[in-house]
Amino acid sequence: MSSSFLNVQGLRKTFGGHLVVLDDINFEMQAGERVVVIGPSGSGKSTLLRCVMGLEKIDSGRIELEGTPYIEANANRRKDNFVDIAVRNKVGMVFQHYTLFPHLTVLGNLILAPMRARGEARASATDRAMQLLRRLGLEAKAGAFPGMLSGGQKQRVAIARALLLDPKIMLFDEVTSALDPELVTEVEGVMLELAEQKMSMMIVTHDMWFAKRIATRVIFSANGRIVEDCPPAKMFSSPSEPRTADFLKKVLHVETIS
Amino acid sequence: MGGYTWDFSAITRNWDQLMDGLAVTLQLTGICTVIGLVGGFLVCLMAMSRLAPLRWIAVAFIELFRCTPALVQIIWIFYCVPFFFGVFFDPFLMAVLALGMNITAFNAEAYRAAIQAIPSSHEDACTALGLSPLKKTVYVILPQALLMATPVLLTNTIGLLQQTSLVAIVAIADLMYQGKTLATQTYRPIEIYTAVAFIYFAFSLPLSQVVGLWERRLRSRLA
Amino acid sequence: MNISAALGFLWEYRQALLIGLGNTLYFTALGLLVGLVIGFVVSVVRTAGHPLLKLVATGYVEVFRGTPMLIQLFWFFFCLPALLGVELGNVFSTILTLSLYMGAISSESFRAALKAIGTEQRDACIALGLPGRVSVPYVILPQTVMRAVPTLLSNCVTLFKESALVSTVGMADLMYQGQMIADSTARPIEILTATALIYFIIAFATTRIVTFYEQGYLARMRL
Repeated sequence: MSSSFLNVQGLRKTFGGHLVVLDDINFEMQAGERVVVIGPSGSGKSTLLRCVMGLEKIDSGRIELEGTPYIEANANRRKDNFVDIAVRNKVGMVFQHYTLFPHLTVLGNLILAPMRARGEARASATDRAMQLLRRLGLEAKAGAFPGMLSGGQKQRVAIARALLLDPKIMLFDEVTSALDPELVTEVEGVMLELAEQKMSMMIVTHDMWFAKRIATRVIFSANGRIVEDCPPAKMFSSPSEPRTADFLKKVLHVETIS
Repeated sequence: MGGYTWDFSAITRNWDQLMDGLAVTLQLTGICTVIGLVGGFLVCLMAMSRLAPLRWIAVAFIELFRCTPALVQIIWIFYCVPFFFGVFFDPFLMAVLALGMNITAFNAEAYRAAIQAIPSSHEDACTALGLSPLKKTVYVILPQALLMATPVLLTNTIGLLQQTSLVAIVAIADLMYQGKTLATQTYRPIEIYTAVAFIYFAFSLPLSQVVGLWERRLRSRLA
Repeated sequence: MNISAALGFLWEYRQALLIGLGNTLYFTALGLLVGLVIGFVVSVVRTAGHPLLKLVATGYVEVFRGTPMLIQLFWFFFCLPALLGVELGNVFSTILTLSLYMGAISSESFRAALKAIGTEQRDACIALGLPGRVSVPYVILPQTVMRAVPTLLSNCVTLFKESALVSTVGMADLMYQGQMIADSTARPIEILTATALIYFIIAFATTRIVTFYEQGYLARMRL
């Protein structure tokens, strides 16, 4: 058993057995770390997050949380993966397209899982939900339907919905990519606040400045492999791999950011 | 079910009569399809026109024919047209009139839905590209509308094929009518009605397969 | 034509027309109820069922959508009892036909709604740790029903209109009563127009509810 918090071992993911999306990914993460994954489109960043969440069927490898394996590829490739649901439920995820339930109010979205899946009493779940909404400045929107909210508000509600389940780690999959530029900061603000509270996070983003600001570690992935894994200061000033430097040059239009 | 002895000779002996009926059914369907494709587009243009009275007439026409049973329309036209106009048209012509107007109303709605589904950004793009309103309609709006309306228009045509069976009630010798006649003449309703159902089905099924195929293609092309 | 005289004439036959309307609504309502259950079950089977069951369900839908309801009606009235060797009763045969027809057309509506719920919603359910016993009744089903309601209501209007066909097998619905009075009084214009109007008012009102629901409720939800 390793002492790491999140441990991904030999993760391989293909689509249809031919198209290799993730190829032998190995990485560890300590509690309180904030790992930002960057890389060109199609490099498997989002797929990596989806595998950690257990949304994808993996071809081989295993994923552990706090020393307990909770996702493991089955040797028989036709069979489903082994999934320890109790452990997986400690992982929270926020998606690019909010994925709020359109037929439920903001409050309804928040308390559905605590009440129906975890058996929490309505009063207690509502209490916690309202507290969280108050903290995020969304108290007034508790009774609103998602369709009536701005993108930024929707995404903050989606974060609140995940947080209400007390996750050990939060996964953020391009959560600001669908937002108008002026709404990005309100969502990033919530994430920075979580960072201050030492929440463990894995983040996929295209926003390099935000990556530099929030990350304790940056992973550059390309063609389904981890190419470089280092602190943000080094990643953005003097990456050791030429491919990383090349990528950063393209997305930033400058050699490095300081 | 084992108790019943099937006798298919009732069908084979009267095959020609069934085929005569089928010819009438297909003629009706064909003529009304053409009327519906052209008329539906015209009524749709009227319904989307800037002139309010034109719009009202078109919408009233569409709603009237979409919200009453086709049987009522046929019976009404057969009873009331001679009364109002004092002339007896050929029954086949009256049937074409009734079914033609019915399919026109349904197709007009299909065209309208398709045109409304075209994103307004295309209108803007046409203006930005300096296309005249006529060119915009002919080269950008119409082709897309047709592409998107096709599955519904085809489905309406399948519906029309089935609605033509209603003319049997006003004694037009279509497939349904011949079936009814033969069923009573031969005392073999089971064989006859099953055969008639099969014949209708044999024409509907390929069409509905085309609809499914077209919708899949449309989804992948416009995705 | 004198309007007040026409209205006076219609007033004399209000009882007969009302009885017809009552029967039409009764047949339609029962057909709806049974048909919706059949439609939902068939759509689930076609979306996620055993391949053989899927084939049977698809065959059922294609046959009932691919043949005229008139022939279905004749078949269930004259053929099925003879095949089974039992008397089914006219009301039973009527409702059986309407139910099976409604089941076929509504299964397509349910199926489209089931498909329209994106995989993203399913991902969210997993990420929130919702087991099937929670996600199906609280997330999937409500969204399916809400999405399906507009097309289901249109299906209801279709069934309501198609139910006029039962007059051809002698069931005393609105159409039948209208035709009877028209024939016996030799004043078809007033009666048939009134009959058409009654169908129109009910069908049109229902289609307005559909529009209202789509533009108000569904738009607000951005479903």
